[in-house]
Amino acid sequence: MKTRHQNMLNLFVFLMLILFSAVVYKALFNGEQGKNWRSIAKSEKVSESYIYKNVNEQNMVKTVQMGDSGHEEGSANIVTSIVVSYRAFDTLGEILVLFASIAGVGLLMGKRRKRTVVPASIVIQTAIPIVSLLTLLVGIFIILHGHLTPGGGFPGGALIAGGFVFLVLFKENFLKKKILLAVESLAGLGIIGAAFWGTLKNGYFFFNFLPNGNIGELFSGGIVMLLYLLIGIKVASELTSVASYMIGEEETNS
Amino acid sequence: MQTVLIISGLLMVASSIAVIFAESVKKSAVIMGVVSLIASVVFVFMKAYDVAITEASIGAVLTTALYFWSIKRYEEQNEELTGEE
Amino acid sequence: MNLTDLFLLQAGILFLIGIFGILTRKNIFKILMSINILQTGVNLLIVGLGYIPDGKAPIITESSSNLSLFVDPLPQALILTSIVIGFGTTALGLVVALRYHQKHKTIDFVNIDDEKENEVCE
Repeated sequence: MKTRHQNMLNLFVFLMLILFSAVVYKALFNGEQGKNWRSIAKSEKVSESYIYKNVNEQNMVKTVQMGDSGHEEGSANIVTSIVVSYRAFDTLGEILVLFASIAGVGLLMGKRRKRTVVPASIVIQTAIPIVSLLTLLVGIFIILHGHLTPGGGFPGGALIAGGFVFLVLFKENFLKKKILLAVESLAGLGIIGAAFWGTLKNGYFFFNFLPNGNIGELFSGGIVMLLYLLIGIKVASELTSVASYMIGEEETNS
Repeated sequence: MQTVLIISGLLMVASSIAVIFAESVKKSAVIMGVVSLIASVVFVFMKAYDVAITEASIGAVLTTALYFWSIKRYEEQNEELTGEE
Repeated sequence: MNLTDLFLLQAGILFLIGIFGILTRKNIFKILMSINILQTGVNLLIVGLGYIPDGKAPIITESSSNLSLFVDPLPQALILTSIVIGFGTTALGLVVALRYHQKHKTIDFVNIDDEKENEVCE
């Protein structure tokens, strides 16, 4: 009886979804006055003022090359320049959302009883330090080159968190929650401090107070490298603390 | 290029159907990682390299690990709750 | 059928599968996985709308002389943060599911009013 009910529900939802997709298709392809997403011109589609690093001025100079200097913003990766420089305020809000969700995890997660764990085999015990060291190195490389190559603070922080999670397999009770919390708070305070330092310098929140340099060099882009370093540290400590909450066990003496 | 995209899209759709209709939750968690991994390949075809590397590191690795930890805790809680009664 | 159509088709099918899973499953883990699939579909849709034919990745290199071929960098920047937020919300949802299991002794969604009536009857 119950399976038949489930089949009826599946069929009903399937038919409703077919209807829904037909309505969406009709709205997309036969829109008003023959306009749909295919007829949008490329100049309306691509946000060119970010690509040519020219948001404030009216007349757009369409030349940006490697080694240039004197543009608004000096990082070679344009996605990074949007995330950390032009829309850094959005990124601050995103980090606050992540912090709130991790705080909710810590609030709701109960403790787990200590159990007898099978010790890891010798293959794992030999390989894990090397693998986690390489993972940490790749993570730091990705964070520091966020303004030149794809990557940045978020995937680099995730990789560093993965390296620390590997180390948990090697040694139990490796992660200390208080140290993680302190590192995370310091990184968050550093981000807000950098934003207010820009305010003191020029009156804008998240103002770029460091020299821009030439596009394509390691030390270019001004505040981007500093902010991405802090974001990477914060994301790594937050994701590692989620892992420590999920793995966490009750102490034996308590 | 188009053939690769069609094949990867078919794989992604089939594995996401398998996530919903799989019998055990652990199988679904593993196939969920596969969906994220193929999605990161599709992001590479869209020339969105930043999004691809983020999806591969967070969506495919850490989310799968998260699901496994919580399923393990769920099984332990289940044992305790059924043992008490 | 060009490449953008294919991207949007994949994204739309993933979106529909996600909604189907949310509406029909009862296991909370399965519902969270369906939400993840839906989120992947939405990410693919938004990034795919910024793709232009024969586009290049928006990174200035030595060989990139023509910047007008770059794909739209703005949706990529938005989706980059969206994936990280998705991880945080998934973690929170899993913890809430574990607390639900501690209280109601089941991981499936049941009718809570029925449970209350049963308790009153007992």
